[in-house]
Amino acid sequence: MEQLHQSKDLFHYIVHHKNIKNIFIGYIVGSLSIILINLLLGYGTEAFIPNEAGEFNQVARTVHFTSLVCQFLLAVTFIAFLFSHMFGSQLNSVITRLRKNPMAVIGLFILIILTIFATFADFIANYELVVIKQNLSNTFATPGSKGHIFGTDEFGRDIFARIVHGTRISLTIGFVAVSASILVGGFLGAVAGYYGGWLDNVVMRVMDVFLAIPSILLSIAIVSALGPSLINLVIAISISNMPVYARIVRASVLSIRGQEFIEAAHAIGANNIYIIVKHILPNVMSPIIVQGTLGVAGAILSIAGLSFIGLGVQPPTPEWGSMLSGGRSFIRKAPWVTTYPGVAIMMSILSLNLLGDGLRDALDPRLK
Amino acid sequence: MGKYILKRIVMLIPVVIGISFVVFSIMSLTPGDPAQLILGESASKEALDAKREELGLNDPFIVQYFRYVSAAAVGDFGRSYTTNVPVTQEIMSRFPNTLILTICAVILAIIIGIPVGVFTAVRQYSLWDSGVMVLTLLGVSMPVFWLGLMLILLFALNLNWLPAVGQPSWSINGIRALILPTLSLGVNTAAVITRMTRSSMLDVIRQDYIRTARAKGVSEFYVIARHALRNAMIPVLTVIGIQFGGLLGGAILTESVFSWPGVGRLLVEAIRQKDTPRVMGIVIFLAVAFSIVNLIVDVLYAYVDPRIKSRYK
Repeated sequence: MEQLHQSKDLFHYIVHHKNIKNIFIGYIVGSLSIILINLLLGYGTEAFIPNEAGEFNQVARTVHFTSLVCQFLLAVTFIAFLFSHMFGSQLNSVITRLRKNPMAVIGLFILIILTIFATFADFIANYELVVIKQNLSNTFATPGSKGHIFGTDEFGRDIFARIVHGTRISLTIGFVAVSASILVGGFLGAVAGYYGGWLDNVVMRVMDVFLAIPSILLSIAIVSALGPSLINLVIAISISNMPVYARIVRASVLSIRGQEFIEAAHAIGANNIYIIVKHILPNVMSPIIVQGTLGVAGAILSIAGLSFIGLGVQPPTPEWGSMLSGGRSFIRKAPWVTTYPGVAIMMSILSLNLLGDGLRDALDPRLK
Repeated sequence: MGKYILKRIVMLIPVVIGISFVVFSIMSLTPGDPAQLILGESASKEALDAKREELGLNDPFIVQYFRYVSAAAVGDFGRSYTTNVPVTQEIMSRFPNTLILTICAVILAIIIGIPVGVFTAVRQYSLWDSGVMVLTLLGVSMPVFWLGLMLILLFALNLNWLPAVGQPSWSINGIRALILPTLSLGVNTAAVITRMTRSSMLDVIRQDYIRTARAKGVSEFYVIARHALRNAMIPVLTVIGIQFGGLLGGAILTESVFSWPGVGRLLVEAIRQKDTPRVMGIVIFLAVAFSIVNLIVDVLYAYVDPRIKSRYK
């Protein structure tokens, strides 16, 4: 710590301190790869140029945002795997353990394929011209006919293209919503656990109330009050997932708080913020990562369920749940319209469940 | 035991009040004017003002909340905007159907889950074990509404064995109509219970007292059924309790797939019609029902495991 106070040594400190160096490298590699993918795909034009009326193209913005999130996910996964040796031995050993678990590898493999599809969805099918444009002369084409491997739906849109673009929506909402609930819930849980007393009581009793409402019911209530839209869906799912993370973080903080190394940190004059960031957060990461992975699966299921009853993403945006619900009326005539989106939901949830279980084993060295 | 149950019921009260406050606050965010919804677009300004006054919409939020909650405490959730029927009456006429569906699904899940879980634990690492584990993974990952649609497609439309929609009743047709919704709702829970039973059994089977029982010459069946299963049941019971809440949520989707006349479908209809009192009443009702189920599970839990009860003495 002392080095930090001498500003002339700051550069020296950054270059030589292992953790800061690794974060720097990770940041630069991550940003570069996102920019590179963006350049490759030619993004960032339509979404940010307003039309004559000064309005932004909301569809283009959604597509742009969701695609950015998927690029980020893909970049993070690849960086974690390719440069794991740069991030110290912990990540490296977690990945080594993960690789030994065949189920987790299958899950990760499916997930990476889904993310690649989501990231490069625009190469597979153009959003405006294929995914949402109706073609009433080609409705209910059977799977495999005329270049439609999964067939077409009641408006003649290619189902495969819609599923691929739907991956983008589901992964993005799932990831963003769970991240938000980890941030907010984790913060509340950390504060409650660390300070204890009346603050702990108030925060946790409120969380108990949220936990007492089944999460899908809470999401339904929130979306039906706020109105169905992409943002409101994220808000609803984040709020209904929040208490779980608050509980996990609080429990971990409570178990760590009393330990000697925290006392030692106090004794050498470290302040609360420093202790929380430096000592408590790293210890809470494992359960959060595991629960977060499983939470994304739950979120994807909730999104699909809410869209299925008309409360989620609105048509014509390609979303798996609303595709299912759209194909319901034609299930006898065209079963493929409902079958394939369901398979997509199942595969994504399966992969996240497998990965989550694998991570649980990999992050807990005691089970080795 | 009576004291323990009483204590748990007292602990439930603040949670129920909290639920009502959270749901009331969320629903008060709903845009639009309820008076306009009731009277229609063509209503005059005076009529709207009078209606607003009648509904108490001009009062402060807290006053509105207290009025709502004191009425709800005696079972009055107000009247539906669209049908003008008391919400409580609507819920009560539909809830038995949801309850039947949910209970059947839980029973199905237990009947499948526990024996299969025990079997796979006893035959760990066998082909059966791996096969069942893959199936349960698929079962856990399957969305209930999609499974429902696939069941309709297979059993109702292609094979024509069972009806896709129907009313529950004590007739052959009523029971036949119950089969597909129960399957669709129960498969997920069955998978979860199987996994939980298996892992819990695997924990227990390695304990010393199991070895002792075997050493005494107790038959293998008796060891598993009496000594191991009883202790393995405790975590399974918790999971069943948690799943019940998930099932109440899942029932909303299953009911809309099978046009099942339960509370869930009522909720979906109410949301489409922007009928706030109905939505609010149903959400509070289901959440409280979920809490009561959890309470019952906790009491059962204490019954199965006396160590828990002693903490509340």
